[in-house]
Amino acid sequence: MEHAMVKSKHYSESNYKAIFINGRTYRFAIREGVLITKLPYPEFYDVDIFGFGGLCNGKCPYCYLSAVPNGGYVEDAVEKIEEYFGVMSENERPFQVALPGSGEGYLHPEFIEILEAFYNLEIMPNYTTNGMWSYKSKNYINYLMTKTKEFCGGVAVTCHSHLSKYWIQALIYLKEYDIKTNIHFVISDEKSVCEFLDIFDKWYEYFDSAVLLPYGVQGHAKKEKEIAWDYLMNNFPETTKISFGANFYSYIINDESGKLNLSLYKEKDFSGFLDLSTMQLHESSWVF
Amino acid sequence: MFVLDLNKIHSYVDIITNSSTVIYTWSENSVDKARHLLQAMLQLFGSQKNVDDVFYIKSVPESIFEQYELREYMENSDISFPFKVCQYGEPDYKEYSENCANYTKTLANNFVMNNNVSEWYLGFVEKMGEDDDYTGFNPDTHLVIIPKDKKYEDISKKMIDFLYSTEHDGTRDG
Repeated sequence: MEHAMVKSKHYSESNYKAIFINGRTYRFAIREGVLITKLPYPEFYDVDIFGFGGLCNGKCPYCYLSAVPNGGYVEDAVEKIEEYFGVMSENERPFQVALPGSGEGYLHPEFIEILEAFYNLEIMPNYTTNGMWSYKSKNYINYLMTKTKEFCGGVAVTCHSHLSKYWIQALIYLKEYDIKTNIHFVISDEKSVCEFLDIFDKWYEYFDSAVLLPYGVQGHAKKEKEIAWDYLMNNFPETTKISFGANFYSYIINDESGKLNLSLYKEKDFSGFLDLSTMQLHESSWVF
Repeated sequence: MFVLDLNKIHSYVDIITNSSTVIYTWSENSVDKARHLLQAMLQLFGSQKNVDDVFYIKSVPESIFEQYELREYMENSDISFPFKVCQYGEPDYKEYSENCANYTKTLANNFVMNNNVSEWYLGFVEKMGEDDDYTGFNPDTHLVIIPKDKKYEDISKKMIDFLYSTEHDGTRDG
């Protein structure tokens, strides 16, 4: 994002005040020692511009949102975004949104317009990608990166094993364009932990934070899998560059390794998942 | 001087890309996070200065600002006050109490500014930072911020007003 964005939100009834400065959110409890409770309006949203079973070229057999290469997308996304968020007061509007909810963002025909719509509403858009745009034409890549730099707070690149040539190239482009970057990685068994640790070391200079997401059974992902939490903790690097997706909450609160210097809040107190295909607001994307 | 009350800061999070839930605790190494906040606010209020050029910043045990803690430590360590000591009920006790309050504040500020800090005072700060009630939790800390020059007091006031005001606000420049 090319300008400074500074905002604050305040809900006395939730004992909550927050300041948002250029992508960083600082939350305060108004009354010390009293818990912050669920906000009347989320501080940040996942916004789904495709809908369940939407358009994606990644063909991940474990996609929990059932995305497919011939999937659909929300055709009037910009209008819906403007209608939904435009009527909110400044205090009600979220600081930021995570796109695309499901599917692969750049495949949406109005993707850049969607980013711009949020930017014009003074809501910081961020998006997750599989990086497959990095093998398109140089002109397209320059366009996508330039607009991303102009409108977005940052990008997360999901490191799928079968798409490694794409996400590696995407990380290189994002660094070249000086765009704040996270990586996402799906953790399941011990093998996946090893793969993550390898990526973490090898590409350490190319991301700000690595966000770990637990494998879950939903959508294409039919098979139950072990989450190798203890193995992850036993091999956890000394770093502040690793974050956890909300569905790791139960693992974190029960963790006995002592390796995590975290303070936690209830996983859905600050967030919401808005499905633009149905205009339904859910607590998370694990509702299908 | 102003104090950024670390106990009130619930959590800190960077850009959200997938409802991430991780938050680093706001103590010790979180001074860097506070530095980011102050740096961004300096820019917000129109200064191009580096935060360390403008402020002394240190995370300290909050009890170093309690005069009774200092009194007790000094009395138990046979360290003399630089003023007349009185007992409760004596005629000059009020003056003594005021002297103690000022002395406590002066020493704490000097500690934050690294200004003529004596060995015994370092011992006092260390003791105030210990888990002396064996609860497993270290005592509460405050982040103390002192402008390095009088000309920065105004910007300090604006920053603290912004942090602790109860009105919502929203701005964007550019």
